[in-house]
Amino acid sequence: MKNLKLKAARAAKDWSQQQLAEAVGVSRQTINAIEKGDYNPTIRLCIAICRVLGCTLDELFWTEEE
Amino acid sequence: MNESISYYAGFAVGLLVVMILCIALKRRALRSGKTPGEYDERQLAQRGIAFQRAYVTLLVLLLGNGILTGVLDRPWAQPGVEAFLLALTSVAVFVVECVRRDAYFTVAQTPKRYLWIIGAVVACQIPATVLHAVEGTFVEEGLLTIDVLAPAVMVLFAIVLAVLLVKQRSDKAEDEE
Repeated sequence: MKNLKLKAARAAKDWSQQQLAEAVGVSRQTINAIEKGDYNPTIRLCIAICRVLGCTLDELFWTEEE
Repeated sequence: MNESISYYAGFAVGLLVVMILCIALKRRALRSGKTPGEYDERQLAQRGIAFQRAYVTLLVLLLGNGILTGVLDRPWAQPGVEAFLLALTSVAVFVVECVRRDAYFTVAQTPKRYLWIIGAVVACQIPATVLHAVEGTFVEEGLLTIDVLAPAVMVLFAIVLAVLLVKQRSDKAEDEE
């Protein structure tokens, strides 16, 4: 499942995938894979992403059951 | 005998050149403060999958080779060459899988620089390949000889180069989206 919340939070900061990747110390492809829903990040990476984007885990990674 | 000495001397010189190059690159990286860095968590997971595939490939090849040479008694290469070619094939699987999964280069490494190095390795194998092809020494008594190592390495690096170039193109297209 695509992570549109992450994409929106990144876009709100006007950051590219590369900029976000550099900020959290991963490759651009890893950010791309998370946004596309191809990779589930560990809690450690989730927290790092939340910190640099100024969001909470709920805001970026919580999904309601369908 | 002389041929054997010159072969090993060539091998030693090649090894020395590679070692000197590696030390020089490492020192340069340390001076500039740019170290290769580490793989991120997704890359480590992807490399694990690539490693599994390469391992299974090697097992299948060993089994096939065992049946071919042991059961059917149909050897196809000299013993050392046989082992090298099987290992090379599984290494090729590992590298190609890593490249496909964006897990070949660390976060800090730039693929462009390595494209040139891989291209140079391919180019370096061309003279030996052509020479042995002209001499016709690839096969002796129905078995592949040690002379096939140059074209085998050339093919491996050419495949890696091609996959890297294709991957770079698709990454570029992705960046532009």
